[in-house]
Amino acid sequence: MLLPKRVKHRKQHRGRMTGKAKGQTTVQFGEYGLQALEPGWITSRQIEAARIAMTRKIRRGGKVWINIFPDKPVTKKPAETRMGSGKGSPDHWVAVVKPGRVMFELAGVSEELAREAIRLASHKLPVKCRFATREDKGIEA
Amino acid sequence: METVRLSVEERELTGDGPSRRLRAAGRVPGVLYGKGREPKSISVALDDLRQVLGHGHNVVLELDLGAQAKRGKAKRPAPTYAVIKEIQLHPIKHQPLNVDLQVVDLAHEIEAPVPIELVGTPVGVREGGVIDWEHREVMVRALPAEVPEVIPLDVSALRIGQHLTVAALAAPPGVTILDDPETIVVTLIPPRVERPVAVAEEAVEPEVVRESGSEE
Repeated sequence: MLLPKRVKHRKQHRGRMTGKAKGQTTVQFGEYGLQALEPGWITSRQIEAARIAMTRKIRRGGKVWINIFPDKPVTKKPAETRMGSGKGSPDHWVAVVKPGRVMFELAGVSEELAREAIRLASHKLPVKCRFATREDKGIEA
Repeated sequence: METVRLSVEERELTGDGPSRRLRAAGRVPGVLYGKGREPKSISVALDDLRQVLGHGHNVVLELDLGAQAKRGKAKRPAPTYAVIKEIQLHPIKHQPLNVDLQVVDLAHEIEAPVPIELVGTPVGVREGGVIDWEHREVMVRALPAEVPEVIPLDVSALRIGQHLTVAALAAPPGVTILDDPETIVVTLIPPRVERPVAVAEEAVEPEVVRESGSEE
């Protein structure tokens, strides 16, 4: 699973997820992509599950890119603990995703197979997604 | 490069609000600039721009400047030619938000990015290899009308582990490729071997670079 090697601070504030993605809003490395349509926190487990779903579908051949990295720690208090006594301890890692972000990319497979692989991957993620292609250049309505 | 007509209207109001109102009215704000002339704020109809984009990004535009303003004039001014320098797209809707047009002189060479098109199926793909692009475009210098739509690259003899560089591209007459000839364009990588899934990978807590005293 993905997680940072070194961090500056063990715990972070939750932050806000307003606005749209500033970069990586088009397919840049592969031919097809999985684009987020709403904001959300994607955990490292979800990223791994989506990657496995995709690579199992395309079997041999093809190449997968993961364009998000879970670099935000999420803390959790132990079960049955009373409130107070400070912030909980780091529990897992998430990637903050905003609408428009192309999270995964695929290349080296047919469009039909890519659509199916990306559909399976999207079911592992907590945000609404859509299939994106390199040709999305403002031509279609 | 294909030549396409595009009617362009000059706009006086600039900024977020007027641009937003323009987009709501089915137009796209933009700017027209070029050597030796003042930049001009313009707008184009969204449908017209979509039609132009349907011809590809490398097109020469014959601009119909201020179509309404000069309706009364009998004498037609010399046509202005331009190329699309940049288009900003909405991150989700992929709708054009802004367009930059650069005025060009048809008698002077320009530099433009041209996409590379692979021709044929590599031998290595039949053996399970995957085409890995390194560069999908090359910069070329040519007269605006001679900038090609695409530059073909024959990959049919490519085997797994081999690559092709910019030197393998055949530029049409009148076109100079500006990129380094040793730049790799495409590589044929071996098929991916699925690794066994690591059993119960424990999430180790990362090392903290410098923990401040006030924390915790």
